[in-house]
Amino acid sequence: MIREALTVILISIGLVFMLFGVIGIFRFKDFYSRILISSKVETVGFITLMAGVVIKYGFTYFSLKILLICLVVVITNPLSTHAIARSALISGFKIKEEK
Amino acid sequence: MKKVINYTTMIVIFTILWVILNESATLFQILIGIIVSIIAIYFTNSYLLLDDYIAYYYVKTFVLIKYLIYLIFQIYKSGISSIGQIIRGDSKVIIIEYESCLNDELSICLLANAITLTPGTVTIDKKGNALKILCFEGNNEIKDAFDVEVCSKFEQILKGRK
Repeated sequence: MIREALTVILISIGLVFMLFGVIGIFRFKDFYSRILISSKVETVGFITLMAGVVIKYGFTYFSLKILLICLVVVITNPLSTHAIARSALISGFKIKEEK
Repeated sequence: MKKVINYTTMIVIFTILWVILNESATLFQILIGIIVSIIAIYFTNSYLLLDDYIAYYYVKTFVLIKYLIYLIFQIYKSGISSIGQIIRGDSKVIIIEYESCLNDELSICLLANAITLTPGTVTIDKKGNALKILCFEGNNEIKDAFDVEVCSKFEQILKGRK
């Protein structure tokens, strides 16, 4: 019962983080501010959601696989974000001034 | 002796990964895992990484755990503060130049990784120990963290990695 409740709470928090990330992506018009916000969806939302799934299934092989996926995401996610932002900066993409 | 301990640790970690991926912890599966780990390390040493990578990429387990715990704490702290940023619609971004007090490449890369993982900050360039960080202009947390003369908490943790 407590486990179910904790699962629902964690998954809901993860979805709320993702929702705000998506709202941010639509709200901000500049490329650089969008990339800053999109990392929120990928890290905070994803980790919270996966923590909820791990608690739901307990200590099983499935949960361990989920933890492995989380570890891979934590290592590779900054690399892709960095590569996209760096290539934009090198290409001469300017930071937009707010009107 | 240290090399043997390092290789044994790697074999143990790879075997655990093999067991998790195969969802079976029988003696046969563990034996296959050990054999596959040894073959993987042999091929890596022979064809992929010819330098002494174990000493280069070495991170103390305690430091790694401390780094991960502090990283998760920072991710959530910044995640919550960036919700306010989205609600306010404050989208002005700036690039900060920051000179780290770390000297070795792996520690600087781990620091850059931590900065990019934290919502609201992305490392966009690295030259030596100087990092260019993209962040929101109103983000006071990052400014406070990098305005200090001494090393930030992340750097203090990473300094003790060897």
